[in-house]
Amino acid sequence: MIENLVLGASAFGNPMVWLALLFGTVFGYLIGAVPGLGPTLGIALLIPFTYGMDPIVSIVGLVALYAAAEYGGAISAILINSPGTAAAVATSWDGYALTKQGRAGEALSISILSSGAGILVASTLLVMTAVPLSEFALLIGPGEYFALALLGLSLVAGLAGSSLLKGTLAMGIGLIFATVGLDVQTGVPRFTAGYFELFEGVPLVPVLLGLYALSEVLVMIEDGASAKIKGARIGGLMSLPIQTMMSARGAVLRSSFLGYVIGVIPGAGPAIASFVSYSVSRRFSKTPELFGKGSPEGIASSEAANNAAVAGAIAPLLALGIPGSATAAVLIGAFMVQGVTPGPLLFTNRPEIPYTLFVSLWIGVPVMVLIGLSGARIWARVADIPRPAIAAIVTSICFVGAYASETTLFPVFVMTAFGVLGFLLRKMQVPLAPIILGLVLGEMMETNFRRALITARGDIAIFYTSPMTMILLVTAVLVLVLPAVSSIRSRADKDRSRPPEQ
Amino acid sequence: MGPEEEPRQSGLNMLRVPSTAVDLVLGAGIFAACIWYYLQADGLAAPLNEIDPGPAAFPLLLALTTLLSLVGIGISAIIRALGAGPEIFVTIKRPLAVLVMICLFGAVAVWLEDLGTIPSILILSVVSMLACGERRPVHLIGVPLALTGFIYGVFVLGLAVNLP
Repeated sequence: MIENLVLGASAFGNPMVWLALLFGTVFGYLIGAVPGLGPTLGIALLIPFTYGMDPIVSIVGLVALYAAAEYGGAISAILINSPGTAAAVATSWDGYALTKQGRAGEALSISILSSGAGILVASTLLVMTAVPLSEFALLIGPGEYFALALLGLSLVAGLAGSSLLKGTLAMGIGLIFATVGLDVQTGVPRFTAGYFELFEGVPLVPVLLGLYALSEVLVMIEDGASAKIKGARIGGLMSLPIQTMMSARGAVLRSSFLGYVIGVIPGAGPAIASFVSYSVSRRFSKTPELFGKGSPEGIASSEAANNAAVAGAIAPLLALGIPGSATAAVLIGAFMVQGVTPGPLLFTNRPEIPYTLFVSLWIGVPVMVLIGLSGARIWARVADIPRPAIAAIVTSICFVGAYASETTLFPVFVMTAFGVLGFLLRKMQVPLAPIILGLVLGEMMETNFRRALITARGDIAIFYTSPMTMILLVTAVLVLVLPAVSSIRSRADKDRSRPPEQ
Repeated sequence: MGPEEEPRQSGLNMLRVPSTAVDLVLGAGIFAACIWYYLQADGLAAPLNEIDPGPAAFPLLLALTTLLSLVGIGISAIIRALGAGPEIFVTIKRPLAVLVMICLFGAVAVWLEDLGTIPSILILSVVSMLACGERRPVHLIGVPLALTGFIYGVFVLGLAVNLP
């Protein structure tokens, strides 16, 4: 492993890798600081800029963006009580309270140092767990792999929306699109409607741009130009709150660990990690009464956890080739653009990719902290950028990016169609994350489904005689059904407790 | 209008549609697409190898699952409509601006190669800013010009992408 880590570190001899790290961090801060945008949209928008780049350079840049965007969400949460990402909501509870007390600089310093610590701890856990996980993945059969992918998809579909049916619909739509194109095993064209452009399947990059970026433009147009919010004064930025950080070190370590574990679970992600860690820290805190009123421990817990979850989400992506969230699915799309297929074989076939990524997370921490602290005043003003200008930027990058992906008009049509579809599905409250996950996982799922049946000579008993497959499939069904059952129960309880109408 | 003034909102204010109608209409559209998908999958040739489930098996499974979830969405929408609970609405704010923008997306997608990249970016960015409610002339001129320069610099000069 040490040899491979040295191999990963050697990539930083290339100045372009450093440039990608810096650019990814700065762009991540910008994207994260704007409420409503986030790492998923950021990565989708940046993919067109990585065409023709060296895979290592582009992957380092995109992962830096992912981490910095998660932190960037905290800036507007602390300064203007408007979290840039869902994961920064818990940060705003104490961060904005400190800002109102005139301690915005302290709150920002705590949040960025905790974020850095979270990534540092979690990336160490990632290095320790990703390789054993990939070795385990090589031992399991096609039936188990199919069930594992279905479980990942069900977790995301079950947790992404409020409705079981709409989550299942989204999952189905994504998987259906994944079956378009030439059948991998027989070469038969399927569902192409006569378009030879679809023989290689529905192109992923235009779908990502359409679903996440172009549909967001339509939402921005709906909202109109948002009101300009005056940022708070930031004092004492470079005076590092060492004593506060030392007293919160237990909470930071615990939250980093929790954040990593939650990040590994498909569908959970940084937002859930930050909420869970925040409430656990309040329970263990010596001053729980300060939580929600400006507790440095609260900020530290939320930020350490949501950044640790980024490294957590990368573990199944690299080791199993199964993304656990929409952002990770978009990241897989970016890997594929570079001809890199994540999965257990990546560690043996192209070790320089995962190990450079691990090293980049470590090296990225001081870079992120320095850029974050020195540019805090700028990031704070990013939330003030007029929405119409952001809409114009996103629209233009979508069209040029889609065209540049194949230098034909076809991906532009696909991107436009998915932009409108994404907007309509949002109105229908159908979650978008399972669609992307289905599209990314579909081919792998179908291949393993068929391979399992072929090895069992067509006997479907293969899916219920292997204990591991059975457990995974039952869990996949339960994670979809249980949230729906509990929601129906709570609705019934509410109805019962309502006084009868006169 | 001064730089500190709020950009104005334009277009019709709001379109409110019962969520039941949205679920039923959009659901019916997806249902029709799924039926087409099912029929296409059903028409795929059976594999020569008897133990191979073939190219149709997985798609048929998907089509059935998706159709079932759509039927479920339809039934729950009807139950909601017949129930005594409060009506839930789906709102589309500034629908005219949204519609104009969707039409523009379609038009630019069709004529991108004929128009050329630079005019297309200029049109898209100006109209999207107008649709968002931006009315300040400096912003309406400055942002599209800067954006066009940035995109030309990065894609054409930096990445050597052959744009129309």
